[in-house]
Amino acid sequence: MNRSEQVRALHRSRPKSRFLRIAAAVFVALAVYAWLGGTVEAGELFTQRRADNLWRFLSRDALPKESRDAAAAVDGIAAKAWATLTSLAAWALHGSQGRNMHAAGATLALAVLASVLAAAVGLALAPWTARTISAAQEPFESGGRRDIRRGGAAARIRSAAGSIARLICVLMRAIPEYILAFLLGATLPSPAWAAALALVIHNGGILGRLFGETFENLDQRPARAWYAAGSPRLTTAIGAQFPAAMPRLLTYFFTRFESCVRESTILGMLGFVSLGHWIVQERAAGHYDEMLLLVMMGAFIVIIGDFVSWIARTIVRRAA
Amino acid sequence: MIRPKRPFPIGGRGATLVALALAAWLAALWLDLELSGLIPRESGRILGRDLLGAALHPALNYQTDVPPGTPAFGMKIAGALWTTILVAAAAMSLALPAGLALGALSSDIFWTRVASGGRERVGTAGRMLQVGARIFASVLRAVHELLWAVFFLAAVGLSSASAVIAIALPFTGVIAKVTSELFDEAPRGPWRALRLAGARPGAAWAVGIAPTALADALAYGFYRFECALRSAAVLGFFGVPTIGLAVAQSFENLQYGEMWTYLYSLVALVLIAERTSAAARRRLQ
Repeated sequence: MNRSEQVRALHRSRPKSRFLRIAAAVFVALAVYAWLGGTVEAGELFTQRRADNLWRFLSRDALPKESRDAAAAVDGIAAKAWATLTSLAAWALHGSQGRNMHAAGATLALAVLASVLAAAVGLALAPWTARTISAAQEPFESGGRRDIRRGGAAARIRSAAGSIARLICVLMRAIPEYILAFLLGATLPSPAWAAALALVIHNGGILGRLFGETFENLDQRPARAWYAAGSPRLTTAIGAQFPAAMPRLLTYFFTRFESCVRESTILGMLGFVSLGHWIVQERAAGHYDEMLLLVMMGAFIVIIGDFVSWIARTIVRRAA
Repeated sequence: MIRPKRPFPIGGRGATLVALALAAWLAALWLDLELSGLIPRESGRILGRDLLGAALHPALNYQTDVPPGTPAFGMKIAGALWTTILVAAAAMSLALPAGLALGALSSDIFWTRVASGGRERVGTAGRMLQVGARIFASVLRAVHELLWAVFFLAAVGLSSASAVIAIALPFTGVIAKVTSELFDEAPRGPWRALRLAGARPGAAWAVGIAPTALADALAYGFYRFECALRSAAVLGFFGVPTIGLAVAQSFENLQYGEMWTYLYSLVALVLIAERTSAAARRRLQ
């Protein structure tokens, strides 16, 4: 076999998956149909009316009156640009105080509260979602043994509880936070609790699964030693596995914290007084400059949240 | 004295847990949250009872008379789900290639050059472009898709195309962040060998780095499609004719049975997407 035949043979023996090819083809077909089949009208974006609207928005509506006046008072493009920028910075600094700063604080506070509560829910679910702990027969075996044929009623109940916990996690994370908050907000008197619970339900479902997988992927030997010495399953999970799992659990926690910061901004659109609340109010009043300032403050908080989370995750990852 | 083999990285474990609980308590104080806020009032109790009752008896048909020409209930659900899927697919068709390109520009390896003596370094111009790409990606993902939708609503009016772009923009930023890490974590051996053998930087990157990282990037793309479905559904609350619009309208019309049917169909769609993307990820990794 010469070199080119060897290359061709290697090429032919590469890993292939019919499932993946079909999935990719279906995705491409859906995207093409969406753009060309009339569902998404791309041409709509490029009409003269929309271009005029965009120009008016960017050149007039999006700028505060102070900036427009400052620009009008000077001559020359460079001087106008400088006057606009400096007056815009002063206006933004002043505008981000008071009510808006309080809303930013509420956004952050909601994210902190919801992510900690979601982690508590995830921790409560994890011993059940981890197959190694809720295993029917021998716990703390890598992969989790699922054979319940020789088990009694307790084994069957334990196995069923594990399956139900995993199903609950799937259902909790299937509905978006916004829709959950929409439904909870209609029934609960406190919009803040409605927003917090919506975040807790969705993220608790995600963390329940991820925390369970973390327990499954640990070195099971210390837990087996505890269990063999007579320690019950839950005590073993808490005493022998939780300390070892904690760095990984924390990295997942901070990832969800980032997501909660993003979501808590927009849950304000449903009544909770975070940045989203005032964004909707200012848009309805036609104060687009204020609206954009609030959007920028939301983006700033998300970037700060990402940064804090990145530092915390880096420290944990390096030391673990 | 026996010392723990792996001391905890940020203080004691107990102290970390106490700090987190304290942070949550302070947050609750800031928000003026009281436990009484969790107990519905009379009107909320009645609504809650109606909602939960309807959850157990989702509608199998329209709950009120509908004008002639209205599609059958099943067809309406299928149509709303189909639009949700198409909006998500269209958004991902923009976000995936844009996110991969931005991810490449944000990565270290794309700009790394092998100097004489085999030392690897990133030039000043490359570093500036990389930082620019990273800042751009951060800004894109820092603004939630619903806020992009509000922006488009104010600037040009919300249409199906602007809804697609509202989802695609933050998704581009997220995909860029993840893929840049994937490109940087890919084994550098083949890339380095190609560079030392005289391959151009772009060619060495395309052959030595991209194929290794692309499998993980595509696996992540499948996961993002799942997220795009949820976002497309939520944009229904802003008037885009996805399943979210049907949920919002049936809630406003007090047709809770219909609302739960729409919600259950959304859950089913998300579960199917999740299973499919999990299967795809298993085959890619």
